[in-house]
Amino acid sequence: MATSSFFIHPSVGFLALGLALPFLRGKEWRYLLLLPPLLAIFAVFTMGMGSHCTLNWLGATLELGRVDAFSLIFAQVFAVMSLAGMLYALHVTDRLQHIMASLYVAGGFGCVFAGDFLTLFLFWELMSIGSSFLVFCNRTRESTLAAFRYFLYHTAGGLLLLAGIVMRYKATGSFAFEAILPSQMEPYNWLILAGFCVNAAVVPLHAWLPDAYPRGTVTGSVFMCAYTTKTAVYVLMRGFAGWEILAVAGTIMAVYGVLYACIENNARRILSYHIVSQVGYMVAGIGVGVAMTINGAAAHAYAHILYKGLLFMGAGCLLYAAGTAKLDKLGGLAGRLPWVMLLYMVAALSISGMPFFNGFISKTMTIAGAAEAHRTWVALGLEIAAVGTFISVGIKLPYFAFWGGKAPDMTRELKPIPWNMYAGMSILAFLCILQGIFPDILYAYLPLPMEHPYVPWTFWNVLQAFLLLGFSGLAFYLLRRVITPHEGLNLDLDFFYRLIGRLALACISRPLAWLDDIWTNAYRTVGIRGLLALASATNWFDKKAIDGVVDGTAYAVGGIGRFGAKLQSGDLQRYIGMAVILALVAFALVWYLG
Amino acid sequence: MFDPGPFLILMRYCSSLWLKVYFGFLGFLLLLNIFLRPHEPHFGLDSWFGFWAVFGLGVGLVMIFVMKRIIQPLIVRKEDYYGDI
Repeated sequence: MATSSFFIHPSVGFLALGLALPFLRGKEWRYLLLLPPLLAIFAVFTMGMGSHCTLNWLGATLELGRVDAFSLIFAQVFAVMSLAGMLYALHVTDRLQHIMASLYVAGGFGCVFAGDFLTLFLFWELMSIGSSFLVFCNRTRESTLAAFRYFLYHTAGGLLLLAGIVMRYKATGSFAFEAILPSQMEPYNWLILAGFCVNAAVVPLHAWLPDAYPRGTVTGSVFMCAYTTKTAVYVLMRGFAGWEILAVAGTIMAVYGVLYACIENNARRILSYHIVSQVGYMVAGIGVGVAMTINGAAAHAYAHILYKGLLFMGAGCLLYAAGTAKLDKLGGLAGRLPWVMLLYMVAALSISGMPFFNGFISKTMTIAGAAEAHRTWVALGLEIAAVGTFISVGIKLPYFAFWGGKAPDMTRELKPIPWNMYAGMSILAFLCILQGIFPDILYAYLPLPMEHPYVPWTFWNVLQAFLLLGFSGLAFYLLRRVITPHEGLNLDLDFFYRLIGRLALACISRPLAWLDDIWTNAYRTVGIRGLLALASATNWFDKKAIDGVVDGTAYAVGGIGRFGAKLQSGDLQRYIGMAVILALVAFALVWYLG
Repeated sequence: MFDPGPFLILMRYCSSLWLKVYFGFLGFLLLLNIFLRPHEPHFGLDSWFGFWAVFGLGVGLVMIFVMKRIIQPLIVRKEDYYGDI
């Protein structure tokens, strides 16, 4: 590991790309998408440990580059995922998607390397904006509304975080982002925890995730599934390790996610619920707080980003090619999309914790750590979640998407999948298998030293995994007609979010409507009568004063005109007489006044 | 590039063979479980023969049945329930 002071912030490349993209011409700009990820990978593997890029801003010290074992492992997988994600999205011509993905990834790196809460908050919000647009860019009514709800929800979460940060600064006089001990249960720490938990999709704050991710763009959801929740896992790991509430919440998340995935029909929504479930493993590991579970959480975050990205890529391919990700409308496609199926299965077996795939070496570490720490219910809950994971993502989704008991579908029109999508998937599939077979590739970067190294590859661990998953598969086989997915919307806690939203709206709009009624009545009784009286007065003034002056002037001019006409008789003697009279009058006036 | 599609289509028609292989594999796992047990069981009961097989099967059956037959009928609504689509 590098110990030099060399440091390039991986966000720089993505920010530069995001700013430059609107001004680039031609078609070759697409290949520039790969430069920031390559720069990020180079930066992550060469940067030295320590504090970099500190600056003073408004009297506060901002630390943009805190590099240690925690930040490094997350930054590493973020960099790898950004390369696979950008490669997968290379065919997309909509620049806004690339701009927002770049800003979003830059935000993720910024959060990971932030050494203080202010820097963290700025990049946290950048992520929120970027990811909202990745949903919006699907440009349907459904996705636009979902993006708006997503943005509102994350803004509320961001405000909780900001309130906590400001109150903490007031109390401690520092923005430093350090570990917060479970004994420090001050209100501002709870607010910060709540802000983090929103992004980690901790139940009951999770429903934004299965609401928004299935509605994102094909390539945008691939990015989103990797960064938002895992950034939250990182900050929870750094700030709140050992908080008991997280052990409980994580276990609930792990089970809750698989229960919903069991009954969902939309492939991307199934995967979204499995993000909740898999992040539950990490949150539980952080909550237990011993070295093995924290390392397990970090390892699982790494493995999860790789296989979850691959799962969303696979589901994205189905959506891209067939035009739908709903399982009841798919089936019989294994022969038509064989590589999509095979690459998807690598990810499906990885998330299930099957030996030879990376979920096996990460998930088992968290469970073993919880059991060794005598957290039996946590470990048991995570094992229950493992069963549900294999049933819904490992078997149900691929079975109904690629087979479904239907004859091979040779007639459906399928859009050809570009080479770059396969290339992005292949990178992740390769890494899933590589880490599964050689776990030390991943374990070398774990942040905490352990009393004894965890060895996943034992005969018992392998047999236990095969027994658990093999007989879970038997349960699916026996109840395959029961689990058949159907069209429909399963109510989740977002029902209550919407209810709260409507209530909040009612709390604002009802009093306003009441005030409006009063004003309308007052206007009717006082205002209109007053206006009528004013109108009558104006009318009278118009008739008597304005019309009087105007009409009087007109009558006078008319009278003078008629009198002048009478004088113009054409008689020369009368004209001379009138001229003499006029001259005498003028003379008299001059004489009298002079 | 090699296209595994025809092979996968062919394999679909060999489902009974795959099923026999699968059940045979499960039997083999149970056989191994007679001789192979954890040195340090996590929950106590998991040192028993067949614990993880029963756990996987039992949890799977209960989860599918309860969620699909009891919970889902209570919470499922039409696709455009919220009027978003």
